[in-house]
Amino acid sequence: MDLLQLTLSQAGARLRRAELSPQELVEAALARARSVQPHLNAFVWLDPERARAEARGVSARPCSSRLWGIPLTLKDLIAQKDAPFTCGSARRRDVVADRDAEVTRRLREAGVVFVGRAHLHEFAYGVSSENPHFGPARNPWDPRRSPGGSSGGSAVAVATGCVLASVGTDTGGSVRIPAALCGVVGFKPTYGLLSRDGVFPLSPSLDHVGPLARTVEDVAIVLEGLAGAPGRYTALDFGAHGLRIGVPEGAFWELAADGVLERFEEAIRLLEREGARRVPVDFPWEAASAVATALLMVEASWVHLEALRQAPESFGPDVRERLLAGLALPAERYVRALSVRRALIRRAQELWRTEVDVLATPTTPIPAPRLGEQVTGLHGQERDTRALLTRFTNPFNALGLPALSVPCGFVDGLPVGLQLVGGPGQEVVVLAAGHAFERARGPFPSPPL
Amino acid sequence: MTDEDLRRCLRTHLQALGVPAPADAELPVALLRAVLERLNALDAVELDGHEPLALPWTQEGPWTSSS
Repeated sequence: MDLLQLTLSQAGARLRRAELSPQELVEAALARARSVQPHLNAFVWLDPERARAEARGVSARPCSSRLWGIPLTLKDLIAQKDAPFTCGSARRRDVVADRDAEVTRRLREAGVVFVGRAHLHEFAYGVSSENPHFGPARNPWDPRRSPGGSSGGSAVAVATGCVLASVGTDTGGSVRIPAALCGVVGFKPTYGLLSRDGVFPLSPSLDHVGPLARTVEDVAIVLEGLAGAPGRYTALDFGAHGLRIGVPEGAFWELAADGVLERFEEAIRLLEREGARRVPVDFPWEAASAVATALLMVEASWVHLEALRQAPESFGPDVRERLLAGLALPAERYVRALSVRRALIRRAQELWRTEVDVLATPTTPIPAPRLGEQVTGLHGQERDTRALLTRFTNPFNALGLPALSVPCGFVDGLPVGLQLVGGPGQEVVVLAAGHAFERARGPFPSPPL
Repeated sequence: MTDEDLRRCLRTHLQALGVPAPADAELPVALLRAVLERLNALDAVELDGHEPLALPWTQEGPWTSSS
């Protein structure tokens, strides 16, 4: 059996009809993980016997949800009882979680079979998944390139069929960026919808938990499990007719590779053919991005202050550099960022209330960069690769809005994503728009294995 | 600000917070400069005076409708 031939939804249906058992499914997942791991490093920990025991335990319980028997991996920033809880840090290599995070507990209750622990950028503070302590995760479309991050292992594991879904965290784009760069679907719900209890913080004002899977419907099924809300997010067959799609105007959004903009325009035209209406939108996106940068840098340094005092050398060079710089940002910048955030949230609420149903952007301005690439050439200028990758995603962490990335094509053989953003609490609108796009687009290929 | 200003700023903050400072060459001067420049975008948004930080009991909550 090949998990790439089955969506989570299809596998769940076969499990419920007893045409497939959790044990068979987990064996398929482990077989794929065994072949993928040496090349792509999707996991920081993989214990086949533990996964088999989980599957046996689940099959002894009655089927209670659409997630019953589904193999899934959690980013190793989300506590999973009796499993490693490294957060991608050498200092935490021997830490084992003594309890489940709230989202883990909910998935366990729903009958999920946990497979390994997904690789991540150290403490989720970066978007390349180049981890000096656990080695880099690699992009399944080109192993010389980054899978994106920080939930890089989650996206690789889903894209290669090691699991049917994963759960990551997103503080500036850490679910949506790797989803886009690996050709899978990633979703960050409204800020506060999902519990962060038992999730190691990066920037508490911006941290979100979110699912990754191969289809929008699958992401919605996992979201229901995470939220403990069966049936709330999976009625998605609204189509795109009459949908008002906001498309940002201004130079901020034009800073993207030509190929990315072409795929984006094709995606919008496809939605227009389905009956959606394009609405030009003006908004101070650059300020929203700056809010995210200010909050992230100050809060991450605050989270890690004690460790910086005691053992600064325990951090990898890139993370240490960011943490030290965050300690020197003026308090005035942080307080202003909080005020600007409130002002922009009010404007965004008005925008979504009166003008648009969803906003569309490319998820990232560039496809997957090479591993080690610090600077990317774009339109004749050299740009910081990390800042570039989060440019279109982190405004929506600042605004706390639900945002989805759906694969929308290829640039130079590498997948890129369409980002769709909704108003606060409008998860179903975003997911339905993504589902409509996905159906109009047709099946998206899996990476060569 | 010059590189030396930023270096001094970093050293002062690290010392005040009890964080051992690395050698001069390893102080993230270029990163701090880049971030500060990025944060200039905050000044493009006009604010109505100095709004206080919200407190839980000043925000709308489930209790509001029944009170």
